[in-house]
Amino acid sequence: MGRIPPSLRSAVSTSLIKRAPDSQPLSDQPRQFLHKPIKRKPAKVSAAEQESGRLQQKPLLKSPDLNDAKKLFNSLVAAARAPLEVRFNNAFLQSYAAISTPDNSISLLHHMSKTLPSFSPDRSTFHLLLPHCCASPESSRSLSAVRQTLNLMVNKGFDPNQVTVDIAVRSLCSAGHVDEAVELVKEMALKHCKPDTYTYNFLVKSLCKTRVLSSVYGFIDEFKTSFDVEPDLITYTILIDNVCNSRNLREATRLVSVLKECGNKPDCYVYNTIMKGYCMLSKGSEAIGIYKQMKEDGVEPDMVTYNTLIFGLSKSGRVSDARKYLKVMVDNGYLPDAVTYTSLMNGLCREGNVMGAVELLEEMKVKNCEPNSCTYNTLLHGLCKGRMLEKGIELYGLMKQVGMQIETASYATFVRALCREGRVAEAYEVFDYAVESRSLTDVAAYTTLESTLKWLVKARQQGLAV
Amino acid sequence: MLPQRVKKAVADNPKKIANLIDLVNLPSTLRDFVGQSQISRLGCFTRVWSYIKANNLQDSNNKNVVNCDEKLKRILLGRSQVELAELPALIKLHFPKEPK
Repeated sequence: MGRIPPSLRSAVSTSLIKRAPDSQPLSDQPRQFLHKPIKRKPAKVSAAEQESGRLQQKPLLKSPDLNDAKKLFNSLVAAARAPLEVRFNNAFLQSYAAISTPDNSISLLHHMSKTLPSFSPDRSTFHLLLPHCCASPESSRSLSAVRQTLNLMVNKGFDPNQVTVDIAVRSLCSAGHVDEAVELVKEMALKHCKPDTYTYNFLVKSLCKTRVLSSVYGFIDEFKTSFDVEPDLITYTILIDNVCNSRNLREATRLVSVLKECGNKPDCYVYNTIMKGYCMLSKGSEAIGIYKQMKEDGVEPDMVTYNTLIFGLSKSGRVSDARKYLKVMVDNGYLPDAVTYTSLMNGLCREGNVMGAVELLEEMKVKNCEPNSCTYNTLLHGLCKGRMLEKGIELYGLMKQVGMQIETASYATFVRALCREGRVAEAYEVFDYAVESRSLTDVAAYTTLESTLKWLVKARQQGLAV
Repeated sequence: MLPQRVKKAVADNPKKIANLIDLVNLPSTLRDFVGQSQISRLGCFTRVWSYIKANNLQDSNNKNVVNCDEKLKRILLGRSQVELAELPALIKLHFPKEPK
């Protein structure tokens, strides 16, 4: 449920998370960093930049050896007719940092500013060094490398700002060093600047994944008292999502009341999250209750609300109610999509009304709604469970034609159904397809096949199967 | 929900997985067939299955039955015909549980 604005997401998180493997040509990654401050969307690519972009197309640096990089840089300086821009130098440094250690990268930076006096590192230089420092596998070392870079930054006259903190936190968390990220944020809040809401909420979200709830609350309290950073609506949404995922709906309800006390008005996201929590537990009536509460509070339900509700009702076996809300949804101007239909199909299959589900597939086609792989998998699962193997095989043929992946559950059901009918060779063929299409790992696919066959042999010995 | 459950199932029995993918020193009969001295049980199964497919050894009337050629006979207890359903069990015979 993280609601980071797309502009920020494209600038910070994706480029950091997608850490390029060594072999990848150094193309897009550096360029994303060249526009500072990073919270702005990249401007149009200028001609000069395309020039430097072209230079980056070839993987210039192949070895992580420091001396090689120094030599290459010297030769580039010597060969360049015009003085090299900061942008080019940054790209060069980033390419090296991607394949080398933080210490060596910092040494290279020193070397670069020494050989080329005209090159003065700017804020972005340090910002693009930071993620690489954060990513080192030993957590204790990573923070010292981060500190080293930050100190260097301060020495060059750049005070770390909120963007700096954000970059460091995101890279630390994506490398799994959440505790270090917390330590760093506290340190920065004392020395330089408080984290902004994006950093703060990201940190809360990462903490929710790794720590127990009480410790997350401790973190929030600590930031409230020591740094005056208050949790906002998004923070609460993250917390509610987290407790709902651990099936603690009572805590979720408590959080909503706390949130109201703090003067926030729950929005669509909060309600959707709680509704999802109830739906996961197959509590259809409570989900409808949330829907009604939304209406009372004057929050307009959106597409996600309706899809969640229909999913939950189908899951708890109330397909007729689900259909009722499908109508309400259409009346409110939302067109049902593949998710809506798949949820309904799931409900119908659970009820044993497989033909109803097949009819729904037809209806989807009429309404020009493209079924996705989940739709087909649900249907395959339902057909096999409902002992309509022939239809299932037909559907599987369709899936195979377009190279659609087969999900674990449908694969297992399908293989079992085939074996039950004594069609072992076809089960082997499905096994082959599952592995080929990379739907399942070969271990998972084989384990299922093996246990099914084991069961089959046993059943045959007892005269139970063909 | 599903991937979590699968992950859990895998995490729950690491021994079973290890038993499937660990490389094992092969007895000489199997060594001749696969042409290497070590293979996992899963690898061995894949090898045998693709051998059957490549040499068209499935019976044309009943695809569930494999007519073994000389090479295959040697590793599958000398039987001239095996059912596909038995294949994993037959291969497992070559991979006895290690004594603790």
